[in-house]
Amino acid sequence: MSDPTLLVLASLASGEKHGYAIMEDVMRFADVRLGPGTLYGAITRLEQRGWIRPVGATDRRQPYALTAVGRTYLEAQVANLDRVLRTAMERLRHA
Amino acid sequence: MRRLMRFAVGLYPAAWRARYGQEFEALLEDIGPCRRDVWNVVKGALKMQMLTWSSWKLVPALGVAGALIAGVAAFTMHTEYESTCVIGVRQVPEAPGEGPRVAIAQRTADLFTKALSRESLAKIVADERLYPREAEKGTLEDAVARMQRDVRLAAFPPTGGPTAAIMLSFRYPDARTAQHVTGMLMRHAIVENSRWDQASQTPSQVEILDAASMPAEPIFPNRPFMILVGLTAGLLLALAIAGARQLRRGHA
Repeated sequence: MSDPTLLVLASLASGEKHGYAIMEDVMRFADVRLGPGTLYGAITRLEQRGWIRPVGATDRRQPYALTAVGRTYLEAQVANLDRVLRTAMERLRHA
Repeated sequence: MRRLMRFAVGLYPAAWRARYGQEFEALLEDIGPCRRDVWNVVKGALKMQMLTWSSWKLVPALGVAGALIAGVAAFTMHTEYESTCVIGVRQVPEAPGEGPRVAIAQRTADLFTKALSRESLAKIVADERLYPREAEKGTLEDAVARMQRDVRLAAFPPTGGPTAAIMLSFRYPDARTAQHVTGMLMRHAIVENSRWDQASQTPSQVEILDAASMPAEPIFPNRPFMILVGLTAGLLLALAIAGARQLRRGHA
């Protein structure tokens, strides 16, 4: 899985984070290094769609949090992925 | 690296920089960007520009970009020059039931089978040190095969008069060599013809109508055509993006 928007949403599911923290988190759980251009491309799209929102910043680092709509979207995507994974696992077991 | 990155960040649309600029710079300070990051930021900026540009700005911009890319490619490609010579072949006595076209075709085939034979071309390749890359990488056979592809023959049957014309051309990355080798091939053909004449005891039937030309312009790549293709591709891409945007807006 390397869709940057989904990775950012997954990262924010555990709480609000700023850009650098998202990069580090995604690297840790998905072993994917999001470049700064890719990360902010995803953040821009997600904010425009209303799936994330900026929360109070203490310095120039701007943290973001999932919105309710973003959480619903992420849950739907994860359920989809889960279904695909289960099917694949099931088929591999019987192959 | 910092200056390069500052330049890359400057490629983002002004409105985007006003909204995200400060936090984006903070992120770049945190990660200590490398070359890969600069390229990633440039790509991100171009993508963002395309998303925010209006169609009237996008269409000419992509058109110019396409023409520029094609232009750079056209001017960095290896060029090829073509030299041409024309030989006249007087109509030979026809065999019963044979038309002039058949007679000329037969004469042309006879003339050039020997002049352009593998042995003859191999000698020219070796003597003139043609195709050094092919000769270095492979065998002489590769260079000869390449030369066989680069020599062209076209016969024009007589139209009213007694003389048919045969056009011989050779293309090569260097204009002088192209001219020189075309002249050599022409002389080979004439020598073969005179041998044939001596053997058959008939008067010479071949004359030079146009000596090997010195090509002024390369025939490959066709730069104006390539630039036109790049421009058209850029415009089409821009129109496709504009159309896709309209569709997306319609669905939203």
